[in-house]
Amino acid sequence: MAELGTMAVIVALILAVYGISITFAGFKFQNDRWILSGKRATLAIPIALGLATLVLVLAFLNNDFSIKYVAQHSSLSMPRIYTWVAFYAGNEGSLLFVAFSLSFVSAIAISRSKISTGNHFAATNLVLLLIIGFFVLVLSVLANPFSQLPSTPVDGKGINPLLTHPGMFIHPPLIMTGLIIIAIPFSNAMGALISGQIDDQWVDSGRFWGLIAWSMLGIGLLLGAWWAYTILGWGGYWAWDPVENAAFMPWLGMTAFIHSIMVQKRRGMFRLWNIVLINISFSLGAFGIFINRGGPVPSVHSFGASTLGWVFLIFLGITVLGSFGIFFYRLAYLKSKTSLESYMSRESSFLVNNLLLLSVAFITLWGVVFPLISELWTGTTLTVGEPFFNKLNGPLLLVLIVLMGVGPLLPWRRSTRKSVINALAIPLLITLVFFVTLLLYKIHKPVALISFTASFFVLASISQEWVRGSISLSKSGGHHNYLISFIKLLSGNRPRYGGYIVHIGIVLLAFGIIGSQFYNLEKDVILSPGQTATIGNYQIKFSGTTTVPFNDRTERTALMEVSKNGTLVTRINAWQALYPSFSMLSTRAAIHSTPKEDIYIMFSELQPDGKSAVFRLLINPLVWWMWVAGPFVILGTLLALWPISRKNIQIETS
Amino acid sequence: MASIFATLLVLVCLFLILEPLIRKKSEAESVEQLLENHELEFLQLRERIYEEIRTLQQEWLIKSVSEESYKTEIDRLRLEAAALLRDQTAGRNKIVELQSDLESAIGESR
Repeated sequence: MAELGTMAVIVALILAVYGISITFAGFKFQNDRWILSGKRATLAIPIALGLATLVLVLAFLNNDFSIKYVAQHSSLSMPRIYTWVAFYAGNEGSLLFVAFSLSFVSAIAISRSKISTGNHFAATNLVLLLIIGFFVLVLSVLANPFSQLPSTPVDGKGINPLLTHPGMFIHPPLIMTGLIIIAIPFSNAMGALISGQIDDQWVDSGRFWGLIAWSMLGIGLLLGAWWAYTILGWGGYWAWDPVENAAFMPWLGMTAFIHSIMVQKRRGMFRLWNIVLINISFSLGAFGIFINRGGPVPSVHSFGASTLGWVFLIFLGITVLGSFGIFFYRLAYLKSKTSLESYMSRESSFLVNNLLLLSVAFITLWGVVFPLISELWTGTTLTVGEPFFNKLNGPLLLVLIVLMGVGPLLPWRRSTRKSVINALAIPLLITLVFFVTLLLYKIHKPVALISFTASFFVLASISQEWVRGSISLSKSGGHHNYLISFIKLLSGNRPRYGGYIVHIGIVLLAFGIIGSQFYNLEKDVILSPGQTATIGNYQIKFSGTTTVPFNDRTERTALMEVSKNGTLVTRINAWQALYPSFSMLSTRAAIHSTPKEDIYIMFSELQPDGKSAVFRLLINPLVWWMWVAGPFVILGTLLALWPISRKNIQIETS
Repeated sequence: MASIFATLLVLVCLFLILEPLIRKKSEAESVEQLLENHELEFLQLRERIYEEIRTLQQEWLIKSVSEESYKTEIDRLRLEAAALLRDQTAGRNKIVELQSDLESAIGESR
């Protein structure tokens, strides 16, 4: 089996080299047959890598410990359900996953392109093949997941306990695929620059794949926060860890891009800026892969680290130099059709939004690279902690939220002071009522008060847009069915209203972050069985522990009773397991989650007497809303991506 | 078993990449394909303009754009649509004309 896997990877490499050569020749000598053959190579690579993926999954299922990677990341006692997670638990497997998903998505993108001839198509395919070729080359030469051990062990080491969590089935694939899908709009943009066909043709495809990459990264980050919240045991969900930041930065870049590309689509502006944004986003993605694979900074995600940092550093260098080199070469041709007419317009608000997002991305980047730079210059490793990121990024993110409320109310091109006041009046009035309500409910911390109010303002402005739009459509249609008008409103401009639904998701996320950051309660206690601790209005009773030994671990469960003002609310179990082969104590918090607040109990350690235990107790307000944000982001993205039916176009034509 | 899969993989890949090179008439080189590509390009551009017009009309209906902006934008889109139709017809005629010239040249040489 291992030989078949290796061979499939080599076939993929040969196809990539062939594809690059024939596409380049087809581009150079204007030969459409060669360009078409290059396209076929792109379509064939996922077949080869798909076979390699299948072989590795089967090797895990068959416990084929003759393969080094399988022996390192699974064991006989590993539940079968975690085979899929074990597949990308290490460097080689995750690289195979990245290469396969990139080739698969590239094949879809290339097939979706209705025109498969010409220079733009050839250049786009060439850039894609170069990126795929890089990953396949690393797989075949430096990180072969099918390399075999000299002798087959009886059992494997097992899967990293931190990865045995439901979130791990989706979180890593979404992050890895999201990062790598940025290659599609990037290749499209580079294809336009290389071929010299610098028009707006790449905009639709760039927006489509940009949105997919953005939503995958966003949902992946949210699932990662959920994983950290339940398994890492400090009661938080985001720690500005370098690997978290590595996915967060390209997400910020792509957020800027999917907004900015709408301006190019709508007004023919920001042509130069959009190329800069996609270059930055892809470069940040490449930087993320370097941070994750190279492991130059300590991280809770170090299980994916390898000694291949230098390879990915070269990839990052070529990406930055190559993409910006082509950009500067074609700079003279990238003039926009129109320019900004007023600072009080939607396109201006998009530009400010872009600048703020990039500022957050670069502050985060500085926080990630500073320890590396300081180590290089002074020999001392300094760490950049949460306060740095929160103090610098917090105010910028708050301004971004305010802009999310103001931007949609501004018209395209220009507006008058009167029209802006008219548009803002009702949302501001409703927000003022909300502000007073917060004060009455004793929300007095200034930053929390401002942040809650700003977030609510976004909801108020979106509501006004929907209500106004539905009423206007009802009037123009001569009926009073506002629900039908609302549906018509949403389907009539899907990118815009899909975006609003995503904004609601972001607001819910903000509510969760503000509530849990400013109003959480935390307490570390030692309890003996039968003892009770108090936190906020809650009484937490420790009823005792149960211990169950397994082949690979010993599980201990602490039974907890949560009461509020003397009334039993729930019984929950905090869990920990000792994995001797990993010398690791893995934990699962006991969480009772409600829209108002989470009661969070972490079983930290059992005392030497074997009966009493240390617990971390937390009350995290509004965290529940963070997880509700996910479906809104998915729903909004789907609406924004939903294609316009040909039928509608025919109606318009007539 | 592994060697059967390996052989199948190589054969499928070889067929995929070599077929465009060895087929008698490349789809990319036929006049029909040229016309089809030409039509597709225009269809995509047309779809974009119609989408923009519809979005603009809705925004105007819900008073999200001013009357002045609406008029300027709708005029621009009308002009773009007209220019597109003109280019589409001219391009199509040129391809057909070239094809008929080519056919008559071949006929004469025979």
